[in-house]
Amino acid sequence: MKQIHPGKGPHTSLLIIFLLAIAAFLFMLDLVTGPVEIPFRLVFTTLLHPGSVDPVWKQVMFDFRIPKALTAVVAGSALAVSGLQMQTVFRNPLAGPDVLGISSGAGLGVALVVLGFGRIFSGGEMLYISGWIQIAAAWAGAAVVLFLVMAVSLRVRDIMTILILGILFGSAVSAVVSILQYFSEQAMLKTYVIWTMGSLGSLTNVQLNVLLVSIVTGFIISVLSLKRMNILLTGETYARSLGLNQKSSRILIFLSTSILTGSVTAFCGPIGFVGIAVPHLARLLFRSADHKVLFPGSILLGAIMLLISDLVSQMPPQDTHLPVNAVTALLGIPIVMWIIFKNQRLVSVS
Amino acid sequence: MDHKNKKNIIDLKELMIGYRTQHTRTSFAYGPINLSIRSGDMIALIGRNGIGKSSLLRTIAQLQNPLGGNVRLFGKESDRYGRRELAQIISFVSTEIVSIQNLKVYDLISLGRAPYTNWLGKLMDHDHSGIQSALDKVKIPHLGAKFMHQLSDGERQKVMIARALAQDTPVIILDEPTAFLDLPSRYEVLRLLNELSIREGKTILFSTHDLDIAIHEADIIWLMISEGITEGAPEDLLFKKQFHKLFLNSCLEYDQQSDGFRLQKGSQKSIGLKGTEESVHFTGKALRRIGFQVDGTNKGIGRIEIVSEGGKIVWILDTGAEKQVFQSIYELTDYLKYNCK
Repeated sequence: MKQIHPGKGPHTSLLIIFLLAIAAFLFMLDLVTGPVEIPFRLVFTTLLHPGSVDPVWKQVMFDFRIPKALTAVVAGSALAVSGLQMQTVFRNPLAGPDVLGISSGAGLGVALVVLGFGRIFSGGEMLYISGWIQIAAAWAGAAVVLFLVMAVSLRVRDIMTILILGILFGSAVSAVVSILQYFSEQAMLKTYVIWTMGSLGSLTNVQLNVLLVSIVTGFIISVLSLKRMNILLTGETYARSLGLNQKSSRILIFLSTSILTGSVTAFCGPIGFVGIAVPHLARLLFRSADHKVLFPGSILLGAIMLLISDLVSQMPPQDTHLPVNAVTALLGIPIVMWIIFKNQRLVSVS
Repeated sequence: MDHKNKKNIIDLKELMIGYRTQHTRTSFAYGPINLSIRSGDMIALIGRNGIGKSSLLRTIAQLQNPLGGNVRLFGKESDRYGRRELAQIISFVSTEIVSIQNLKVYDLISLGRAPYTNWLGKLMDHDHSGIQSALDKVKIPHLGAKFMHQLSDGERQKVMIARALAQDTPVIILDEPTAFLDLPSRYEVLRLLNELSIREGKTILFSTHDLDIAIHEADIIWLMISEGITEGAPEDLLFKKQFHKLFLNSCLEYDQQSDGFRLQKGSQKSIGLKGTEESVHFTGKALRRIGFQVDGTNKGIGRIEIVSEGGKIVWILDTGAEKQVFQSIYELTDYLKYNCK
C-alpha cells in the first residue's frame, strides 16, 4: 500500500515541470534576442532545417546564440548547486562561492596565468592549450581557497568568523591581483579585466564542451553526496552518530564545489550572487530542506536566473550589452538582502 | 524478566575519558571507569557541571575517542565496529537544537533511517512505517508535516527522540534531554524514556540535572563525582546517603519528608505546627523554605494552628505572648520572615 508521506506531496513534481517550462521558454527567448533579428517563427526553422534559411542566421544561431544560451543554463545551474553545497556544509545561509572567497581564488588563479605567466603561453598555436591552463588555474585557485576555508572551519567554530575571514581573503586576493595588473602589459590587462566582468558569449564550441563535461562531472559527484548533505544538515554530532564519514563527505562535496565554481569562473569570469541567492529561492518555492528536492530545484532556478540575466544584459539597443556579472549582482543582491531581513537570526540557524 | 538472563550490552573497561588539546595545553581526564550496562536498563547519569558527563556519554557513543581503556558492545571492542554497524547499535540525542529552515519533522526523523537506506537515502515502505511508529511512540503523530522551526522546545526534543527511535537501535544515549524544557515537559520526556525502556526494551543512558525527576524515573543512577562513579538504584543511593557526596560545598540536601531535594538554610529555628494533613504539608513546605524546622509540638518560638473558621481556613500563630491570625500562607510567612529573626 502506498501512502502519501508528509513532505512528498505531488506539488514538488508539478513545480519542477513548471520550472522546466519556464526555463525552456526563457531559453527560446534567449535564442530570439540579439542584435541580428531573426523572426520568432523562423527560429524553429533555423534550428530544424538550417540549410533552408539565411546562412547568416544559421551562423548566428549555431555559433553564438545556442552556445551562449547553453552556457547560461550550465553556468547558472552549476553556481546554484555549488552555493547549495556550501550553505549545507557550512550550515550558513550566507555561504556561497563568492562570499567565501572561492571565486576570488579562482580569479587569482586566472590572474596568475593571464597576467603573470601569460607571455609564456600566449603563442598563437598554444591558444587551445591556454584554455585548458586557464581552467586548470581557476580550478586550482578555487580548490586552494576551499581547502583553506575548510581548514579554518575545523579550527574556528564560529561561522561568522569564517565568513569574515573569507571576505578578508577576497580583499587580499584583490590586492595581489592589482599588483599583478600594475606590472602587466596593456593587452593582457584588458583580457583579464574583460574576464572579471563575466561573459556567457565568449566560449568557443570546444570550450563549451569542456565546460559541459566538467559540470556534468561536478553534478555526478553532487548526486552521490545528496544523502550525505541531508545528514550534514543536522550537524557534526548527529552526522557522526548516524554513521556518516564526515571527512570523506566534506572532501567529496568540496571537490564537486571546486569543479563547479572553478570551471564556470574560468570560462565565464566571476559571476556573483547566483550561488547565494538561488538555493534560498529553491527552499522558499519547494518548502523543503531535502537535497533530493533542492538539487534539481537549484539547477532549474539557477538556469532561469542566468537566462534572465543574459536577457537583461542585452536590453541596451544596438550592439552594446551589459556585463553579466553586473546584472546578476543587481538581481541577486535584493534577494540576499531580503534573506537577511526576513531571517534575522542568521547565527542561530547554523 | 529472569534476572540471570539480562545480558551486559555495554562494558566499560578501565575507560579513561577526556580530551587533550596541544593548542591551549589544557587537558581534562577522568577515570578509570569500570561499569556495565545491561539490556533494558534506564540509567541516569548525574554529576555537577564540568565533571565530564558529556565526555563520558560521547565516548560511549564513539563520538569521542577514549584516552585509555575501551568500551565494549556485546563483548566486542567498539572501535572494531564499522561506522554504519555502530549507528545500528547506538543512537545519540545531543543538547544541540536542530533548527533548520524548511526542515520538516518527518524529514528530520527520516534521517534516522540513514544507516539502513541506500546511497541516495531512498526510503522504502518499511522505513516509512518505522518513521510513523517512532512518531506514534513519542506521541506526536500530528507533528509530522510541521516544520522544525514551528515547534516548541519540548516538541523539538521529542522529535529528536523520535529520530533516535527511527534509528532502531537497542541503545539510546541522551545528553541532557531535559535541558531547556519547562517542568511539565521534563516530566513528560523522562516518563517517555521510562516507557520506552519498559515497553520497547530499549537500553537508555542519559545525563540530567533534574535529580528529583531522575530518582523517580530511572532504574539506576550513575553518580559521577571526582572520586569516581557510584552506581545503584536511586533508593539505594538515597538510603546510603550517597547524594551528599554530590552536594559537598553546596546547600542542597535530600528531604525525606517531601521526597525531593531542597536548599539547606543557615540557622534553623523550630516552630510547632498543627492542622489537617494537607494544610500541614503545604504550610510546612513554606516554613522550611524560610528556614524553620517544623515540629508537631509547641517548641521554639511558638506554635501555629490551622483551623477552619466558618468554611474559611486561617492560620493562628501563638507565640505565648500574643496570638495572631493570618488569612494565607503568604501572610504567615511574610510576618515570620520579618518579625521572628
